[in-house]
Amino acid sequence: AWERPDFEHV
Amino acid sequence: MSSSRDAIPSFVDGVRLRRLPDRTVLLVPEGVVNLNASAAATLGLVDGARSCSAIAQELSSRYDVPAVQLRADVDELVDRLSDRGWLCVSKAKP
Repeated sequence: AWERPDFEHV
Repeated sequence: MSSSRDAIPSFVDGVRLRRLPDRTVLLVPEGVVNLNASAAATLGLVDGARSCSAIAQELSSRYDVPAVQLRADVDELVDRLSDRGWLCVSKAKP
Protein backbone atom coordinates (compact mmCIF):
# COMPACT_ATOMS: atom_id res chain seq x y z
CA ALA A 1 0.00 0.00 0.00
CA TRP A 2 1.07 3.56 -0.59
CA GLU A 3 2.62 5.29 2.38
CA ARG A 4 4.42 8.56 2.81
CA PRO A 5 7.77 8.21 0.99
CA ASP A 6 10.60 8.19 3.49
CA PHE A 7 14.30 7.48 3.63
CA GLU A 8 17.12 6.99 6.10
CA HIS A 9 20.71 7.89 5.39
CA VAL A 10 23.24 5.29 6.53
CA MET B 1 12.33 25.32 -1.74
CA SER B 2 9.22 23.75 -3.18
CA SER B 3 9.05 21.80 -6.43
CA SER B 4 7.31 23.83 -9.06
CA ARG B 5 4.42 22.42 -11.01
CA ASP B 6 6.51 21.32 -13.98
CA ALA B 7 9.72 20.48 -12.11
CA ILE B 8 11.77 17.61 -13.51
CA PRO B 9 13.88 15.81 -10.91
CA SER B 10 17.07 13.93 -11.75
CA PHE B 11 19.87 12.28 -9.82
CA VAL B 12 23.05 14.28 -9.41
CA ASP B 13 26.37 12.78 -10.50
CA GLY B 14 27.48 10.01 -8.16
CA VAL B 15 23.97 9.14 -7.01
CA ARG B 16 22.38 5.91 -8.23
CA LEU B 17 19.31 3.87 -7.48
CA ARG B 18 20.23 0.29 -6.67
CA ARG B 19 17.82 -2.63 -6.33
CA LEU B 20 18.99 -5.19 -3.80
CA PRO B 21 17.23 -8.55 -3.28
CA ASP B 22 15.25 -7.33 -0.29
CA ARG B 23 15.06 -3.58 -0.75
CA THR B 24 15.97 -0.63 -2.91
CA VAL B 25 18.59 1.86 -1.82
CA LEU B 26 20.09 5.06 -3.09
CA LEU B 27 23.86 5.02 -3.38
CA VAL B 28 25.26 8.43 -2.53
CA PRO B 29 28.86 9.60 -2.06
CA GLU B 30 28.32 9.71 1.72
CA GLY B 31 27.01 6.14 1.94
CA VAL B 32 23.68 4.44 1.41
CA VAL B 33 20.15 5.76 1.76
CA ASN B 34 17.54 3.20 2.76
CA LEU B 35 14.21 3.82 1.04
CA ASN B 36 10.75 2.67 1.99
CA ALA B 37 8.63 1.08 -0.74
CA SER B 38 6.89 4.29 -1.73
CA ALA B 39 10.14 6.24 -1.97
CA ALA B 40 11.66 3.43 -4.04
CA ALA B 41 8.66 3.43 -6.39
CA THR B 42 8.87 7.19 -6.76
CA LEU B 43 12.60 7.30 -7.42
CA GLY B 44 12.29 4.42 -9.86
CA LEU B 45 10.40 6.85 -12.09
CA VAL B 46 13.04 9.58 -11.86
CA ASP B 47 14.77 9.57 -15.23
CA GLY B 48 15.55 13.21 -15.89
CA ALA B 49 12.63 13.43 -18.32
CA ARG B 50 9.50 12.90 -16.23
CA SER B 51 8.11 15.84 -14.31
CA CYS B 52 6.91 15.53 -10.72
CA SER B 53 3.38 15.74 -12.07
CA ALA B 54 3.98 12.89 -14.53
CA ILE B 55 5.55 10.78 -11.78
CA ALA B 56 2.51 11.35 -9.56
CA GLN B 57 0.17 10.41 -12.40
CA GLU B 58 2.09 7.19 -13.05
CA LEU B 59 2.05 6.27 -9.35
CA SER B 60 -1.66 7.03 -9.21
CA SER B 61 -2.24 4.41 -11.90
CA ARG B 62 -0.31 1.84 -9.85
CA TYR B 63 -1.75 2.60 -6.44
CA ASP B 64 -5.33 3.34 -5.58
CA VAL B 65 -4.52 6.83 -4.40
CA PRO B 66 -5.64 10.18 -5.84
CA ALA B 67 -2.97 11.86 -7.94
CA VAL B 68 -3.30 15.07 -5.96
CA GLN B 69 -2.22 13.30 -2.76
CA LEU B 70 0.62 11.53 -4.54
CA ARG B 71 1.75 14.81 -6.03
CA ALA B 72 2.16 16.27 -2.55
CA ASP B 73 4.15 13.21 -1.44
CA VAL B 74 6.34 13.30 -4.56
CA ASP B 75 7.03 17.01 -4.10
CA GLU B 76 7.96 16.52 -0.47
CA LEU B 77 10.33 13.64 -1.25
CA VAL B 78 11.97 15.53 -4.11
CA ASP B 79 12.38 18.60 -1.91
CA ARG B 80 13.94 16.60 0.93
CA LEU B 81 16.35 14.77 -1.37
CA SER B 82 17.31 17.91 -3.24
CA ASP B 83 17.95 19.66 0.07
CA ARG B 84 20.45 16.87 0.82
CA GLY B 85 22.08 17.41 -2.57
CA TRP B 86 21.13 14.03 -4.05
CA LEU B 87 18.57 15.24 -6.55
CA CYS B 88 18.52 18.27 -8.75
CA VAL B 89 15.40 19.83 -10.19
CA SER B 90 15.08 21.53 -13.54
CA LYS B 91 12.20 23.28 -15.19
CA ALA B 92 10.31 21.60 -18.00
CA LYS B 93 10.80 23.12 -21.41
CA PRO B 94 7.72 25.01 -22.56
